[in-house]
Formats: sequence, structure tokens, C-alpha cells
Amino acid sequence: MGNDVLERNLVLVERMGLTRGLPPEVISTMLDYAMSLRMGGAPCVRVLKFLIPATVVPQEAIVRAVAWLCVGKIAISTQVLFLKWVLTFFDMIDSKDHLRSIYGFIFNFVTEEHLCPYICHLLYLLTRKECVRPFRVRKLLDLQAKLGRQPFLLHLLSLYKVFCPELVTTALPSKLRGGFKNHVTPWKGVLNAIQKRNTGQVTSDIRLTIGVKDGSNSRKRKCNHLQLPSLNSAVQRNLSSTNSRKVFPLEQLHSFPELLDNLHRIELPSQMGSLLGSSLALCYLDYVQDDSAFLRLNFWLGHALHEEFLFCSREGGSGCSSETLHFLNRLISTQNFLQEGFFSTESFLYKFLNVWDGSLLRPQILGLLSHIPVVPSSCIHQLLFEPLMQLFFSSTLFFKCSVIECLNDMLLKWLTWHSVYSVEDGLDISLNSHTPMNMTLSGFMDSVMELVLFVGRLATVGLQLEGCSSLLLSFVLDFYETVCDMFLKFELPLVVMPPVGVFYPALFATDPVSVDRLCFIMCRYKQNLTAAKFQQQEAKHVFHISSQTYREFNRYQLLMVSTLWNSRLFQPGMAVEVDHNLLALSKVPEPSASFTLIRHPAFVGYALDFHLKCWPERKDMDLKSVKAGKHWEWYLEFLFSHGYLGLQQFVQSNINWHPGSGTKSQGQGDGQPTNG
Amino acid sequence: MDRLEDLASSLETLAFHGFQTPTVGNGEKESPAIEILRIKEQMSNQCFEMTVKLQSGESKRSCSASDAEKDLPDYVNTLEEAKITHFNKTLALHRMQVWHVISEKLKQRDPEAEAMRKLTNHSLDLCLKIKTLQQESFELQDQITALQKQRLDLKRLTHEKMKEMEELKTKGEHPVAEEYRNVLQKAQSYLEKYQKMVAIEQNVLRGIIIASKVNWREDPKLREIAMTLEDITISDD
Repeated sequence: MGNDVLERNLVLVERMGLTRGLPPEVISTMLDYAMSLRMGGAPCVRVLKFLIPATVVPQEAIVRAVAWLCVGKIAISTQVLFLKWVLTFFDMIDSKDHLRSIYGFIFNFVTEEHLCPYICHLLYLLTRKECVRPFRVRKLLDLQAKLGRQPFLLHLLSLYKVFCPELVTTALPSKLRGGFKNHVTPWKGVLNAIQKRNTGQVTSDIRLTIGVKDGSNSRKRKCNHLQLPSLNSAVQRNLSSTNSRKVFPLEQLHSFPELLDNLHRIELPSQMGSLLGSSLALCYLDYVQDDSAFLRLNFWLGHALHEEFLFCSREGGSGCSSETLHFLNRLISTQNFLQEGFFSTESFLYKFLNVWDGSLLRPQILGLLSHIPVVPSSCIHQLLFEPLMQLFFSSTLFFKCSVIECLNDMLLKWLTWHSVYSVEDGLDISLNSHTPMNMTLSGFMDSVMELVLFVGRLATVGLQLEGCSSLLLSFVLDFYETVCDMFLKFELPLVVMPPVGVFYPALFATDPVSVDRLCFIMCRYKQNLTAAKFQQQEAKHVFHISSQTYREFNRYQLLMVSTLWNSRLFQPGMAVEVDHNLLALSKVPEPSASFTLIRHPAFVGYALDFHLKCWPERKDMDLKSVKAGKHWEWYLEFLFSHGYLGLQQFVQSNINWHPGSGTKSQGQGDGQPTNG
Repeated sequence: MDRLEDLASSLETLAFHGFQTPTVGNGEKESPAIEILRIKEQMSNQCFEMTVKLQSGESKRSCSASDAEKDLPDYVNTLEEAKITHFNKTLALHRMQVWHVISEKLKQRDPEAEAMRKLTNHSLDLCLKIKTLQQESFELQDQITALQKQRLDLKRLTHEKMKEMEELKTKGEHPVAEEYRNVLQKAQSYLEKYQKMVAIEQNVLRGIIIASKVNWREDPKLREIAMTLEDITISDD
């Protein structure tokens, strides 16, 4: 027998709830009505299903509902539905302090087997340090013994452990995969409809967490959290002043002085994702170094990244929605701001690199990659180099350039970190403020060496595959500009020469910019090696640069001078030695002089221009006349005036040539540091 | 004498033939000298075959898979090095030849050369622009790196200061702690005892409320009690 009046009213409220959401007072009343079971169990379930809040959920309503739970008359499935409802709309509860006051009552329900996962999730969101008591820890451990190492128990225990490590002495896995499940299923369709109706676009006032398993709906979760702080503070202003409160919610911070004033009593929001948007919040996070906050943030971040990229299969579409882009860009700017990466991002990247196709969100993924902290040399090959190599060889030119740029960034960050954090020849450097892994100086140098050698190999093969493309060469030379100054700019006693597969394509490049940069790099190497040798003799540092490095450098120097100045390119004894019969076959006159400063592919244009300027009336051009007398000096000046400072530096520091002498003398290469 | 003469003439013939055995018809009888030469040739052929066989037999060494694996990186490196050297030499030769032709062409005066010269000048102009831009970006990168170093340094200093602050906080405030230490300790132990008692009482009360399955929210007094059951300052704030 139905009650017609009740039915009519319920339908009215239901319609409003499903279309526009219900205001807070209505939520209070309806929740109380439902949970008191005044009209039986079925209306309760029905009410819970349409109880969609429009703005906020008053916390007293929840407290009252929990009291009804304690009475114990509600069916278990309805209790589960209620808990799911609380978890889904948790972010819309206006304040949580009353809920924390009844923490004990909520905790009591953890022994119910069907309610346990949801209660654990709710407790995870509510726990503060004061809530961790020995008897609660004992109860959870007993439960674990009964139910096994369930993920929800493990998460709650690890949060307890972060707050009070002395109370939780059992070993817990340091990186828990996955997270608490989303419980939004009963309300999913309604929420989608309401969002569409309210604003019609992604950004709207009502941000709700919509977890999607099948990927058919768009994800709004990440953007959501970034808007929550403003929502909460709008409500708080209506309540009594916050000065009397013990804690200062992070959402209410609006300026840096406020942060400094309240540094000791700031309360973090429940959704850690909202921190990623605000620089004030990040400042706070950085200063206080709260392990529990970082744990929760990494947790959420790992979960979001895994679900977005690794576990969810997209039907159709490239999966490159604007929210994903926005989220990743936010994450990158956060990491830039904090100048360190999150360990959840790191572990996600290692997994993702193995399945990445190289083109999906390439700038973002490579941007995240450059923030990876120093990887120990024992696992760097397997974790980082192998997947990158596989992607590199079959990729486009732009991908190759991007990878080399990314690795250049990574190297710069490692070197910066080292120059700041390694103190006074300290051997023990703590790697990352949150991971206690320590790394010795030699371990760090090993990793850097591995990285540089790896990029050398990539560059060699890349240049061969792309036919010595100037673009790729430019990025490679960027990298070696960083490497050549490792000693003088970053105080790292390590000098690594570029491999032959990079040196020769640069030396024989057809554009003058590359040759000039190569000269500049060689000059910097010389300065670094000289300084290192000097310091070694002074015995200031205990490092040792191997004689092989000096030999390599000398060889390169000799080759450059012989090629560019001395016309001795293909001679025996030089590294690029070619049989003279083969050279004769080429029918090129004076083959050994074909890469000097007047005949080099990069500079022949200038030589011809100069010749034209000097002897405009001459019919047949003979470049040899440039070498005669004053003209050579003028030609060099002409060349340097086009901005080739590297070339100028190289010629001036390495070649014993005196301008003003009558004929162009065959300058002897000079200035080679002797072997160590 | 005759025999010597014969020998001398036969040796002469032999020398003339370069010590190779002359081809003899089947019927003719060979002289002993020629026979010896023939035998010598046969023997040298056989020796050569034996050497070849020995050499090919030498290269068959028994080696286990792990030995081979150990040598593998070395061989791979040698192979790579050879490839790189070959590529570089080819590059040098190729560039040399192509650019010789190009520069010869550029020296001439026909319209094709004119077009090429224009192109060359244009690319040299671009190179100038590229050079200035690169110089700029190099300087900017230097500035950025310097700034990042500074920021990271600041971050490190901030953390150090925060740690100092924490230490100062925990150290306590009383400079005259010696006298009050006993009193403080006694007070502390009393506080702990009472806190434990309160905690137990709270738990018991909570247990009673839950077990009685009463709605503690309805009654205002009971509600007040229930909401304070969590309140206890264990950590000093």
C-alpha cells in the first residue's frame, strides 16, 4: 500500500535532486529522514540515490546519520550505500572537525566485514596525528590477521605509520599500488547530466570526482581538485571567525605573509590534488617537509597517472584530451617550482616508457622525464636507457632532437643539484629530501658518466641515421656545451670527450655555425683540462682525470688544426687516413687541403665572397690568392666578423700565427696540454 | 769434360726457363735435372696444401657459450668502431668531392652559378641570424642555470632553518630547567597517568553508547558527551 502524499513529495524532491541538486538544508532533512527509517528501508535507498548536493553538505547531517548507523537498524546494503555516498561527496562537506570528533564512533564500524573497505577509506581521509592510538593500531593489525593483507588496511596502516612510526612497527610495503576504489557508480549518470546542464562545459562550479573505469566518459577529476579550494573558502566566510579554531585550513590562504603567520597550524585539504595548482600550497609543502602530506600526494598522483595512462584502455581517440594535457602541464610546472620530482611520477615513467609509442604527449612526457633524480648506475641501463634506445632508433628526427634535449635538461638538473647539495667534498649526499637513499660522490659521477656516454652513442647513431642533419647536430652540440664545462661551471671533476661519431660530422659540417660551435667547445675543453691539471698539481682535490682523456683531447686538437689550417687532412697518422690512390681517383686537386678555412664546405661561400670583394674584376677565381700576404689576415678578420667567436678563439689560442708576417706561414698547431 | 758441359748447358736451359719445369712431351725422356725440378715443384705444392690445412685447423678452437658472451661486447665495440670510421671517411670523401664541384661551379659566370651564388649568400645571411640567436640563447641558458642554482640553494637553506626551528622548539623554553626538572617530571607522569585514565574512560563510555544502540545525537547532553570523546591532547601542541 503506497502512501500517495509521500510518493508525490518524494517524486518532487527526486526530480529536483536529479536535475539541479539539492540545497544544504534539504540534504540535512532528507538524510535524517532516510537514515531514521521512518518509512522503511526502501525509501531510504531511494532517497540516497537522488541525494545530490548542489553546493555543500553540512557536516551535522553526516554526524546525525552516523548516529543512526550506531542504532543498528539499517540493512547492511543500505549502510554500504550510505558510506559510498559519503565518500563520493566527501569534498563537498563543508568542514570536517565534527566528523573528527566522532572518529572513534566511525572507527568502531571497521570490524564489520562488509563495511570495512569503506570505513578504512573514510578514516584515511579523516585521520590526524591525534587519532592514531595504540588500541586502534592493534585492532587494525588484528583485522589484518583475520582478513589478510587487504589494500585498504595497508593504506590506512601506512598512513598511521607516517604519523606515528613508533606505534606501527610492522613492515609495510613502501610503495602501494593502486588506491582506494571509486564509489561513484550509483550516481555516475546523474552527475554527468547535472554537469552538462549546469554549465555545458568542463569547468563548472560543481566539481565532483568522477572515476571512470571504461574510459567512455571524459575525465574531469584532475581539474576538479584545482577548483575546490575556492569553493570551500566561499563557504567558510559565512561561519564564525577562524581565529578561535586550532587549525587554519590551507584553502583559506591568499598571500605569502598569511602563510608565514600560520605556518605552524595549517591543515591540509583532503584532496591532495588541489595542491598542484597553487604556488602558496606548494611553498607550504616544501617548507614543512611533512612526510604524511607527501605520502598522500604521491599516492594520489600515482593513482591518477596509473589510471589515466596505464590501466585504462581507450576505445577510439588518441587519449590526448585537453584535461590530460592541462594536468600534465600542471604537474610539470609543479615539479619545476619545487625543483624536484615526485617518486610516484618517477615509477610511473619507468613503467610507461616501456609501453609508450613515442608520439603521445611527447613534450609532456619528456618534460616529466627530465625531472628524474639521479639514478644509480647499476639500474640506469635497464630502467632508462633500454626503453629510450628502442624508441630512439625508429623515431622521427624531431623525436631524436627532443630526446637529446630532454637528456641535456636532465644532466643540467643533476649537475645543479650536485653543486648545491654536495658540501665540502662530502661523500654522502642525500638524494632527494624524501627518499633516504644516499649516494656517494663516486656513485654520482658514475651515473653522470653513464648518461654522457649513452647520449654519445645515441648521437652517433642518430647522426648516421639522419645523414648528419644540421638540426640534430645542433641539439647534440648543445649537449656537449653542457658537458665540456662540467668542471668549471658545476665543480664536478669529470671531463668526457665527445665520441668520434659526433666530432667528425661536426667538423665536416656544411654549415659554419656547427663548425664554430665545435671550435668553441674545444676551447672550453682546453680551459677545463688546464684548470683541472693545475688543481691536480696543487693537490687541492683528490680526483684524477685519466691520461686517456688528455690523449683524446690532444688527438682532436691536432686533427682540427691539421684540417682547418695545415691542409693535412688525409695524411697517414691522422685519424681519418685515406689511401692516396683512392684520393687520386676522386680527381679533386689537393685533397688534403679540402677542408681548410678557404675550401671547407662551411666557409667556401665566405672565401668566394671575399675574393669577389678583393678582386672584383678578375674573371677566373683562384682561392689560393687569398692565402697570399695581407689578404689572409684580412680574410680571417672578415670571417670572424660574421660572429664566429668560437672560431676566432680557437685560432687565437691554438695556432702560432703572427699577423703581420709577410707570407702566410704554415702555422703549427700549439697549445696541446701534455699528457698527465 | 763432356758431362760437365752437358750439365752446364742443361742448367743454362733451366735458368733460361726460370727454373720452371718445361712441359715435355710424353715420349721424350726427361733429364735428371728436370726431374728434380719437377719433384721440387710437387713437394712445394704439397707443403703449401698442408700449411693451408693446418691454418684452417688452427682457427677451430673450442669455446663455451659463456666465453663467447664475454668476448661479445668487445667484438660489438670493434664492429661499431669500424662502422663509425667507415662512415666518417665516407662522409669526408663525399663532402670533399661534392663541394669541390660546387665551388668550381660557383666560380663560373653563367646564370646557374649566379643562382647558386644567390642561394649561398642567402644561407650565409641566415647563418648570421642563427649565430646571434644561438649566442643569445646560450647566455640566457647560463642565466637560467645560475638562477636555478640560487633557488635550489635557497631551498636548502630554508630546510636547514626549519630543522633548526624544530630543534629549538623541542628543546624547551625554560632556561632554568634544572630546578624545575623534577617537578616537571612528576607533573608529566601525573598527566600521563590521568590521560591514560581518561582515555580508558572515554573508550568505555564510547563502547557503552555503541553497545546500547542508542541514537546519541538526539539527546543534547548525550550528544555533547559523545562529541568530546575524541578530545585528548596527547602530543603537546
